[in-house]
Amino acid sequence: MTVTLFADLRRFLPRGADGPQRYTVAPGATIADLLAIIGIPGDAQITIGVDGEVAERVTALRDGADVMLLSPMEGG
Amino acid sequence: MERFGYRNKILHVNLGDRTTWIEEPGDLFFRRYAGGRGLIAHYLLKYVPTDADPLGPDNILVIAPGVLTGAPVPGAGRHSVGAKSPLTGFFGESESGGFWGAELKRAGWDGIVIHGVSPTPVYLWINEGAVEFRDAAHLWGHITGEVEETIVAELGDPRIRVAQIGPAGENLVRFACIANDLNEVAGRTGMGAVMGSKKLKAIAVRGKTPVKIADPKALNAVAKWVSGTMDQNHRAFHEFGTGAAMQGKNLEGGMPTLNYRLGAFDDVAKVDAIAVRDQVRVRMGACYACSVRCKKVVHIEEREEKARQASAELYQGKVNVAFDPLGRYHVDPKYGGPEYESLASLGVNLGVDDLIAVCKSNEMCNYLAMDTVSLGTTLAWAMECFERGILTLEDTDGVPLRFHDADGVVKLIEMIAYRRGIGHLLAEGSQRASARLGRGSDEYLTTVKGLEMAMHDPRHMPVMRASYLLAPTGGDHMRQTSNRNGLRNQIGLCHFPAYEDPQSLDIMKAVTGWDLTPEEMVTMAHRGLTLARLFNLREGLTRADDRLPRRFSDPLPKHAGLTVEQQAKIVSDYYVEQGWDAETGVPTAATIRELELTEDAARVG
Repeated sequence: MTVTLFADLRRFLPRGADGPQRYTVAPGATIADLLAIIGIPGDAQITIGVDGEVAERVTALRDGADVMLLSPMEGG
Repeated sequence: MERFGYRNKILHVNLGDRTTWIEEPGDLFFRRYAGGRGLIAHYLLKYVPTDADPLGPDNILVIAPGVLTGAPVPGAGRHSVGAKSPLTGFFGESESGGFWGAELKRAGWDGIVIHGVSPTPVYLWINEGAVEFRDAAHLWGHITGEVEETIVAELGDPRIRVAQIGPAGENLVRFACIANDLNEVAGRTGMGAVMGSKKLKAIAVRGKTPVKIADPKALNAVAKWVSGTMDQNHRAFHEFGTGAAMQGKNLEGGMPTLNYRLGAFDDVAKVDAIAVRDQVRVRMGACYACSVRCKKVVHIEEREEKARQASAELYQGKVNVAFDPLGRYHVDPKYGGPEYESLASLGVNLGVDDLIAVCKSNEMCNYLAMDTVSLGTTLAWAMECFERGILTLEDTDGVPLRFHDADGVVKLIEMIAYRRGIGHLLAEGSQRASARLGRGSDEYLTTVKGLEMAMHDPRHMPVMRASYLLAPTGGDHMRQTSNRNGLRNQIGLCHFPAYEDPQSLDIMKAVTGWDLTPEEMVTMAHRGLTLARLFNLREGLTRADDRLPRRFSDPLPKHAGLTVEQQAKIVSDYYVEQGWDAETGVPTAATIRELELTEDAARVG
């Protein structure tokens, strides 16, 4: 699947990487499993999008899913 | 007695008779009011008579850094500007970053109170302790970049810092702002119009005496913590500035779109901070002493050849300068780049997905000196009225006001700044424009207390509800209502560095040497908010003003509307929390005593 990390979460990108990354997870894996692979803490406040819709940590992942992980920001 | 963080010197300027005097209010004054909102509300209560015309001679303009402003630590480059607001008729205040506030402190001043009206255009030249009134007839009518260049040339020191109004302030556009360092603005509540009404074009400052710090070692440790933990704590701000999470807001259905009617915009990724970085940004800029460097700088040329030339000559070929494939717009990097609020208010909320036009709109708002939030939101209101046939081509002299019309927005910005055609009505701000227009147009307003709301939908973000309902300035998103955020507004500390409360306390102690407790810090903020409330009550504010516009009772596709009962509970709870009467929001006698505001409260009558 393709995973795009936004804003503060970009610190979890592999060194030197930019843009969407490809990850492979085991069949039946959830978003929580994916977050663990990426290294994002379980209690991090994030917004999760799968194929353009808001998703939860328990959401199961399908092969080829387009995942967005975003941290809330404000101001400006 | 040795003083740290402040010098005990407030400069008073009377523009009417061209006199100045120095007030030395004493140490207790600074520990009590701290700066920013506290200082502003104190002076407004003291000097501005009840019911004064915000654009008349009785209003004052207060420039208020805080006790931290100018200290060498990230986030301490802020200053506030305050007056009775010409947009709301209530407490007006706005903050700005950059270098100007720190320079004022380095010149030895803890604040400026500007009284009266000058008969002719004038600017102030503050060179350390010396204050000079200088003719500004030759600057009047000019945009900010030209004015700064002229002032620096005629005073002969490239390190001079300038805060100024643009043509919008001169023309009393009610949401005109005060720009400093060309790309920083005290944007909200129309402070530029107040300065324009006083015929004060600019304040040039040069200071050479660093602010004294009580414990430089401790302060340095905090500064090192910020730079040393950049990746963990400030990655997004450092890399993108604000606006890097717009796609998230969109996904959650909370992105203000087409005058707050929708919570999502299909093309949000065309105008977010990631698009800015990838397409038009040439570098990031910083405020005074700040390693976070969250300020975008964009550069766009009209033609490809000029862009290539600029890239080679100005940036040694290290960055690509963007060009407008339609050959329409040049965007000058000296005016910085769009923050989140501007990307949203000049882009998404108007249905505009043209990043180059959004950058041009932002640049124009900076050099004409207008608040992008109020301007964009006023346009969004007008566009919805036009769409519904409430405003017609007859009203607008044939100028269409259409969502999605990027070039139309650029044209309207100039019309508003110079009050041309329909721009004359829109320069009044959406609430006044609606009152003049009638025809049920108030249904589509997104103002609180007359101030256009910022780009964070309270239906989506619960944390914003109290801010919009209860900020003394009106539709303000900076969560000033919380004592924690309120404190930062008062002491001159930016909201973006990820300081925890104990760190803010450490910074305050290190700078001032005061033996502060966390409770006293909270009290400081509480005092500022209560003072601003007192001013508003004196100007006729009632509980009925602490409410959201009707639009926010309507649901968004993904979020419920906010009922009147929900809003009333937030308001009552907050009144109680602040020690104000639960029904009326009037600070109780006990609260006034506890906050040591008896003298200030006596001015309310």
